[in-house]
This record gives sequence, structure tokens and C-alpha cells, in this order.
Amino acid sequence: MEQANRTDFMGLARAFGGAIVFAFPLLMTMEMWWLGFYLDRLRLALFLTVNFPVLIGLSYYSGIKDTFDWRDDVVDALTAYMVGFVSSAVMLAMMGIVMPDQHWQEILGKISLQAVPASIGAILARQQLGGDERYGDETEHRKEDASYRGELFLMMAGALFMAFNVAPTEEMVLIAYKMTEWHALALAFTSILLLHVFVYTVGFGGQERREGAFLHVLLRFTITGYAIALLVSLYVLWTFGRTDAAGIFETAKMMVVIGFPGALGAALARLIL
Amino acid sequence: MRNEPGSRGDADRRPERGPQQVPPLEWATALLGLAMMVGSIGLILYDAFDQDTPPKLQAHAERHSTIDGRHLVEFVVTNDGGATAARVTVEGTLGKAGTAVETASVTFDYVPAHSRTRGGMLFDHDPGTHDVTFEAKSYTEP
Repeated sequence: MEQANRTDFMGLARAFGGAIVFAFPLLMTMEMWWLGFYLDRLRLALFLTVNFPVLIGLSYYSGIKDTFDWRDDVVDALTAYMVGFVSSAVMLAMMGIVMPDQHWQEILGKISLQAVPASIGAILARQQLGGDERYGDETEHRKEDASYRGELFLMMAGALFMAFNVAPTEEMVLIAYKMTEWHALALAFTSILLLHVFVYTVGFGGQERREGAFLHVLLRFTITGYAIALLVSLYVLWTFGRTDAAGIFETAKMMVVIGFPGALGAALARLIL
Repeated sequence: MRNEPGSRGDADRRPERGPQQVPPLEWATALLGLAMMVGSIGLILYDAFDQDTPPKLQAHAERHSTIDGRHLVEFVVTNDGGATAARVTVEGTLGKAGTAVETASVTFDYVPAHSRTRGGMLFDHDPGTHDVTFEAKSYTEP
């Protein structure tokens, strides 16, 4: 029993480490603090709700530890949420961003928004920081065997994580203002190209390359992956209120801007998740 | 973890735990996570119905002191409304007998809903012998 407890504690400690490592760039981004208090509350609540099934899916493919049924994936996802929430609260309090004299609405908004990337980091912790091989086999196996739907889920989660890392900053809107339509087209083309290169050579190696056809990968993964990246970036932009005042062309340009890290996230999903 | 020989002993030691075998620590952390998730989403939804009211900005002087011959007046801006105000301008006036003697102004990046922010203005005239007024003048939506 002592052995089991020790492993559980190690897993929990690793989850906290992962939460902080993955979330610290956003913890140190001032737009995230501001969004914490001015973000539309319904969109924030929806974002926190959407995060939960994503955590369950990530737990299935690369959890805090090997999971044996759906109930355990739910337990893992909830644990990751707790770890994300607690680590965000501690970090924000330590940096003086959350103060006791602030209204609870502001404190809760800041912490729960940060808890989203932190909880994803907690789930991914084992995959990234874990040197313990006993853990790896089962989920690695699952990832190899992941169905097409599973592959698309991993791409979506990768896109969400990468897009979220830059989407809160003012620069995203500024870049969209600065770009002409031609710049946007070039960026979109580059995103697709990079996505394809990664998918074809590293991301989905083995199995997919055996099937060979360049066109097959292009249609099945690259184009679909880019579409997913664009949809994820639109959702993130909407959540952060960036689409509210923007016209349709401006929104499309912002989608392409966030779609770039989104596409990279989708492409590298297998490596980072 | 369940599939390796070393941890299978888990079930032998706690046979009453049934086939799921989620260890107590995990139940505890998961329950805590559930409470945090339901609690935070619930409170945020509760808060959502309060957000429609516009910012309600007020400013008033808190105290003054003299530094190197100039007069510092510290003041507080409060926002009792349900929405956050951005780029809030506050104007401070020293007046005597109904006419303004000296004015100063400052812009705050944000005054969040239900919150207060502090600032200070420097005057050449002594606020002790003048009427001091602070007014929030304008804001933008974040």
C-alpha cells in the first residue's frame, strides 16, 4: 500500500509540475489577467465546461497515469482540474495578481481562466516529464492505434493548446490589422505547408506513411487538420471577445493569424500531447 | 499501472474495494476537482446575470500630504457597476469660491466591476485650503 501511495503522490506532484510548466507563459501574460475580469461570464463558463471533455479525451490518450476505463478518465480529468485550479491560484497570488481586497468575481475569473491551460498541462505532465517507462506503454499503444476520430481529437486538442497560448495577447489583433489579404493568404498557405510537412514526416509517421499516398495524407489529415485549427481559433477568438467588434474580413484574418499556431499545435499533437 | 504485476497486490490488500480500484487519494483529489469545477462554473454563471449593468464610477479623495513643497492628494476610484470600464479618466480640481484654481487628470487602464483602484495627483496649491473634487469623466469598453 505504501508503494501505491507513493506512486500516487508522485503522479500528483508531477501533475502540479506539468501544470506550472505548461501554464507559466500565460500566467505571466497581462491580457490573461484582464480577460479574467472582463471576459463575458457566459463564454467563460462555456469555456470551462468545454475544457472538461477535452481533459477526459486527453486522459484517455495521455493521462496522468494509465487509465483502465472511462470512469478513471473522468477521475483523472477532475484531478487535473483541481491541480490546474490550485496551481493557478497559488501562482497568481504569489505574483500579486490576485489580492484579497479584490472582488470575488475578479479573483474567480482570473483563476478559473488560468486553470484551463494549467489543467491541460497537468494531464500532459506524464507524457512530457515522465521518465518512468512503466507508465508509457499502454497509452503509447493507444495513440498508435488511435482511430481517425481519435487522430482528429488529438489535432483539435493540440490546436486548442497552441492557439490558446497566444490568442489572449493584443498582438494577434494587431497582426491582423497590419496584414493585407495577400499576407493572410501567404500565412494560410505556410500554415498548411508546415502542417503537411509535420504530419507527413513526423507527426503521423509509421502507419500513415505506409499507406503512402501524398494525396491521401493531404486530404485526410492536412486539410482537415487546418480546418480544425481554423475552427478552434475562431472559437478561442469568440471566447475572448475578439470577434465582437470585427467585421467578417477582419475576423477571417484573425482566424488565419491564430490558425498558424493552431496548425502547428495540430501538427505536433502527437509529439506534445 | 493496473496492468503491472507490482501493483496488482492493491486488490488483494483491499478486496472490499470492488473492481474499479480507484485509490482513496485519487477519489479525494477528484472530488476536490469536481467541487472546484461545479463551484467555479456555478458562481461564474451566477455572476453572468449581474454583468449587464453599466460601470458605475465614482472618485473621491482619500488623504493628502506634502512632498518637497508640492501637494499629493491620493484618491480612490470605485466601480460599483457590473461591467468593467477601461481607460477611465479621472479629473481632480482644486477650487475656491466656485472657480477652479488648478486641475490635474489621470487615466486608469482598467477599473474592474465591483472594484476599487487608487491613484494620486500632484498640485501646487494647498488642498487643505481649497475645495477638492474628483470626478470620473469617461471610459471605454474593454
